[in-house]
Amino acid sequence: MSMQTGTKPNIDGGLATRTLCFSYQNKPVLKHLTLDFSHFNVTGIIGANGSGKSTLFMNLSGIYQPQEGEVWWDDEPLVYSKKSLRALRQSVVTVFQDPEQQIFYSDVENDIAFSLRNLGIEEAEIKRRTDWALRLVDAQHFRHTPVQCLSFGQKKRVAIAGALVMQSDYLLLDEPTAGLDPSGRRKMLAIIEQIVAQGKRIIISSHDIDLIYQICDGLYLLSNGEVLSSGSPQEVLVNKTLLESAGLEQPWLVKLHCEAGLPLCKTEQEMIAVLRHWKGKEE
Amino acid sequence: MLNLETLSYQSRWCHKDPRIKFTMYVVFMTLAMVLPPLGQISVLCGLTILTCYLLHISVLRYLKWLLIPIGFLGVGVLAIVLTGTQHPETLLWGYPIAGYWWGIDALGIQTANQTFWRSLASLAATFWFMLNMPFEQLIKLLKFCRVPHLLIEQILLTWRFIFIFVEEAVAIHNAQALRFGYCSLGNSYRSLAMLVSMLFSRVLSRYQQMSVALELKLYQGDFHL
Repeated sequence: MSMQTGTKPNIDGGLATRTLCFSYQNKPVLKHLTLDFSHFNVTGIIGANGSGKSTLFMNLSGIYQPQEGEVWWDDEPLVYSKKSLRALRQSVVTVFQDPEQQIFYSDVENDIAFSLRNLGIEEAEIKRRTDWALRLVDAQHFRHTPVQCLSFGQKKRVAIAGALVMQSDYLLLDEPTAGLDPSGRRKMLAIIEQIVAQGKRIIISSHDIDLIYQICDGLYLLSNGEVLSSGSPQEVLVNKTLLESAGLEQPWLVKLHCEAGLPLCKTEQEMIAVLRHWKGKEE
Repeated sequence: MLNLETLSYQSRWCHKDPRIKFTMYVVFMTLAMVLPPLGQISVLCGLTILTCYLLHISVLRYLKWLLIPIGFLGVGVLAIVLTGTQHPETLLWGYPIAGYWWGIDALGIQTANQTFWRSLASLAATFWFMLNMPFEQLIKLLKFCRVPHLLIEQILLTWRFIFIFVEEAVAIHNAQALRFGYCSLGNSYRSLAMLVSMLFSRVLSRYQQMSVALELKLYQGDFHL
């Protein structure tokens, strides 16, 4: 069916897009995006407000259908039939920015189990996976608290647990740290690291540039629906002019490297170790 | 109202079988209806102590809740106590206005006494039931009573969204109040109208977001009650 649209992207069995274009009522939002999410464990999508990040997620989960180009899944262009969308959404699970948007029940456990029950999975298995997901996001101590009594950060963790129970190959996280306090952000970081450790692929859209720098293996920089730059975080983020033209700024670790000539460190701990080492030498 | 849910989850009987609790509620209500005033007072005291014990709350806090409907009760009781008659000899105390004697008679006091304690006792029973019945259990109870699933789903979603909308309405109200939206009666009306229309459009956008989320969660038309 896609013979005319050209060759398939260079992927094996993962999620990708090929010359994908999407417009809202004739206003183009995504322009000829060719992205591949199977190369890296954690792929970051960065861009200013309105650069098309959330719309891209809606396309990746099959809610929106691109007017041109296609989403590729499992070596084939995505078919928008009920059956194949159902299959896609079992493997590619989205967590929205606003947890309120995806929690329907007033109790945590039923909400987390919702997708699994829709799939007709056995209750024993649902129980097992719910326990596992609650443990992973460290939500066991409030699993019996009514949802409306939870804090924003706790709701966010419940929403993520609701996605984790699917044990999908891909997890799309839209602004996972937005609105979280420092400890909530740290927890979220730990959760993401644990998910990656289990061999899942994650796609993150975020303005939290320090987080993106620390946890992503690959990056796409979007501006006005187009890819401005792509590659490893180091490659993309050292280009200050490009980042600023896209309405973003460099992570502080990269800034220290570019502006003060310090070595390029991936994490805060690494930087502290380098500085300590230098200080030791001076003394 | 908003912390009702938290309270019912901190009850010592939070996880007790909802059918037992419902049966007890029916018994308490029957007692409150049929017992003489002295019995009703004992039911009231007993329920007060039981509720405070089960919920780990102070009696003072509980009494404040009982005060909420006392205004209505007061007006109601007053209407029962006061009678108008042409025969002042039946009144315990009275005052003539426009050819009638208005005052208090023995029968009125008796009825008022019964009504007052009956209301308070039934109120205490209802408080007890509400405060010990988390929403989840209420759903179980409704299911046990064979209430149609469609209706239970409606109740479930309504309950969940009440909190979301109250929060949104409060947020809009605060934003307006901070910008002097309620500083005079005229602009209070205008702000309130704006709040209502804004809430309506937010409800619609919530609905759209919810449909997307339901689709992504593979919703098949069933909430698995």
